[in-house]
Amino acid sequence: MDAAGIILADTGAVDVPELIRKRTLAAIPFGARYRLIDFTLSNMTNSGISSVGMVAREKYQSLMGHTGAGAVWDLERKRGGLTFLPPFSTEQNVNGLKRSRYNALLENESYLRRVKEKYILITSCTPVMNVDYNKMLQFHEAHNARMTIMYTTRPMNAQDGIARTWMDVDRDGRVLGIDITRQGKLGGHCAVGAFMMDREDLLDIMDSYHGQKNLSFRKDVAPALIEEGGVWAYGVDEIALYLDTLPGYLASSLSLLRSDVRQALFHSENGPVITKVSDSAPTHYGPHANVTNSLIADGAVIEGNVSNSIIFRGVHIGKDAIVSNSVVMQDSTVSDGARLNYAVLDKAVYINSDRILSGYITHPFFCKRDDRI
Amino acid sequence: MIKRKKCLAMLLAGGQGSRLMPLTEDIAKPAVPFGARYRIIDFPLSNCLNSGIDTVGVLTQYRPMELNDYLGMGEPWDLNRRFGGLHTLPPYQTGQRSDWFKGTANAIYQHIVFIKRYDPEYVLILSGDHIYKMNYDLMLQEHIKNHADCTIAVIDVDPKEASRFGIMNTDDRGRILEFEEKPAHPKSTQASMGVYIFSTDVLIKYLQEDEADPDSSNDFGKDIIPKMLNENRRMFAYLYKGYWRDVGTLASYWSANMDAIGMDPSEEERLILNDPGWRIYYRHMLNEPQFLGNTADVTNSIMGSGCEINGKVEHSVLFDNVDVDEGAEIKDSVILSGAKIHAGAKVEYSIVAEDVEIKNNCRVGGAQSDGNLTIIARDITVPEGTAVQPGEIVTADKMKNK
Repeated sequence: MDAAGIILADTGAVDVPELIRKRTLAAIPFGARYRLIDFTLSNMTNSGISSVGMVAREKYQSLMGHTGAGAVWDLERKRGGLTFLPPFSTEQNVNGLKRSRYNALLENESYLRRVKEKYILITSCTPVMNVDYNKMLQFHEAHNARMTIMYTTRPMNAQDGIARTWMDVDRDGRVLGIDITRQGKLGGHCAVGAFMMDREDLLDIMDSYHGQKNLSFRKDVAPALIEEGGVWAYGVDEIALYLDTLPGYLASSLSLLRSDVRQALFHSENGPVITKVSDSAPTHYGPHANVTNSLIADGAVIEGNVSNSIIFRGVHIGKDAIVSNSVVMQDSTVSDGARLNYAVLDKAVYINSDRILSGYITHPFFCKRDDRI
Repeated sequence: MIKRKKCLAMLLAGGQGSRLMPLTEDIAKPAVPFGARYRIIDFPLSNCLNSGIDTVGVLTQYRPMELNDYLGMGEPWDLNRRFGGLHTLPPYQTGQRSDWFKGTANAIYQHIVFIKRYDPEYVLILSGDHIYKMNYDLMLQEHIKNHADCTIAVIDVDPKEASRFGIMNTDDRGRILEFEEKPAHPKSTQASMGVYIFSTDVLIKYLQEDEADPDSSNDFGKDIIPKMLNENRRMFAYLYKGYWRDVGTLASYWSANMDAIGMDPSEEERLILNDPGWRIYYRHMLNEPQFLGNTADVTNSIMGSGCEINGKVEHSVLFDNVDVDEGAEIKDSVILSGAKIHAGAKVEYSIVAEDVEIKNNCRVGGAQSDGNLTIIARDITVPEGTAVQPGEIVTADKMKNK
């Protein structure tokens, strides 16, 4: 596929301060053994993209630790491969740069010039999808578009009150207008944070702004292109799982218990979801384990009761513990007799025996990393 | 730059594993899956990594394709190195000869050039058919301390079983006085584990002499070790304490898999897979986490990734991508990757190989207490309602006759 990818690791319309306290958005754990970046990187490599630049501005240690040089995605290459693009701070730009997609690209203009692919695909890591970018490229070429923006017809668990990009689209798919709103529904087409452009064209556009900073694709670049009819909306039927608030994160996690969602995400003909390996032992179920309707990762030890939950690697659920409607992240422990209902436990949380924690689907009980209760 | 290695490992992985048939019909024994997500060879390779050995020659001969694919460049075991790392070493032709490996000693003999390239002081010889976690470095330290020519790892076995093994009789300092292969009346309970450390010069000398001897069967146990003892070489036994099982037969393979689920804490030597201090590394498949549905009932079992379970699973080992439908029951069994067990089917005390499909309402095997282990070979579809008798070994040919 003749396109290079740019992943904006900390850009996305989300409001999950709990989960990004000590990690960048792309490193949020999801689905028992993944991080959000896994879905995006897998989509790219499954689509045949072999040059990927990953832009991250802060708290990217866990992200770098996870991706390494990109070997598991076949992105450790001599030609192309995964390039990590941390902030390029100079005296001129270190202060006061707004976080926008445009600024991120401006800082990494040299990367855009260095890659040789004809097109450039720019995407963030939410919502979670399994999509084929080849089809998007075909669409882009067929419509002779200057910019193609992806939207989904099947959003799931998108929460109200989050600012999103909505598009007004004519019958052929041409974008007539674009609006960023918390209310939503300008024409009902919600962008999923992925768009494609001709690389040279993008560089020319950036040149035409003469290094002007703090511009925005959505407010400045796209409207100008819409004016001349060059922006197209490419719709996909793939499920998009939104996790833009903590309740949304919990709801989208629990959506993985639906077989159609697992099918769409993990058994898609687009390809598998690839993640870093950790050489965990097999999942162990004790003599009194009682697990129903749950997604369980390797390395977990289950001795108690688990229902409607997502259990990550290395989690220990003690005897007579009851975990329902919850997400328990890597290496957390729920001791004997403790009870969780609608809880989200970040990594390495320790719940002592017989503690009872309960939230509700709209207000999950959250324990931050390394908490002891 | 380091131009030599202190210790290099040679892993004998060419055996046919005929007693594990039909599991070894298409694959070499070391590539046989074990413990829900591993293969047998992961154990010696991970032991090497955990013991600080970074150069391993794997001697392959019998059906090597799947084993070669699995080994790749050795990256799962950190054995993808510029100097050292993992090398697969098959038999080869030269201008003078072209031979299969005639025996374990001949296999190493054919690859003396490989050993010489790394110029190690010591050579560790391993076999690919045992499940154990062992620190080879401790054994090497003993070897060095004893100024030994050869050190043989031994394990204390039950006196009643000693006649099944190669038995070492030693003095009180561990020096080997006598070696008896499967003695009728064993004098000790120290059984050879098939793990040897040789000082390189001695090894090469004996391999060359052995090759020149037309009467030799070119085997370490039968030829090299007895000859070295005869010539009064310094040979020591190194007593290993810990879990060790030969998984060379279907019954022992089944039983070691059951040990992997978790053994009674009262047992002195247990197999513990979930051990961050001594991980067993393996090549990963791209599977999603396992899903247990509303009707799932899984107890006392271990399971790999990608499984979808809606039935009952009791005291069993399930590998990756196994599906168990609602109303199906699995008990005391080993189910290899990709097997599908459909509604109403009952599988008991069985080994079900890769990609087997057991259709609705089949009965496979019988109670473990009756002692008849049932095997279904790779890729077989057992048609709806079939009863597979306890103790049957179902292969493709047998299925056709049914």
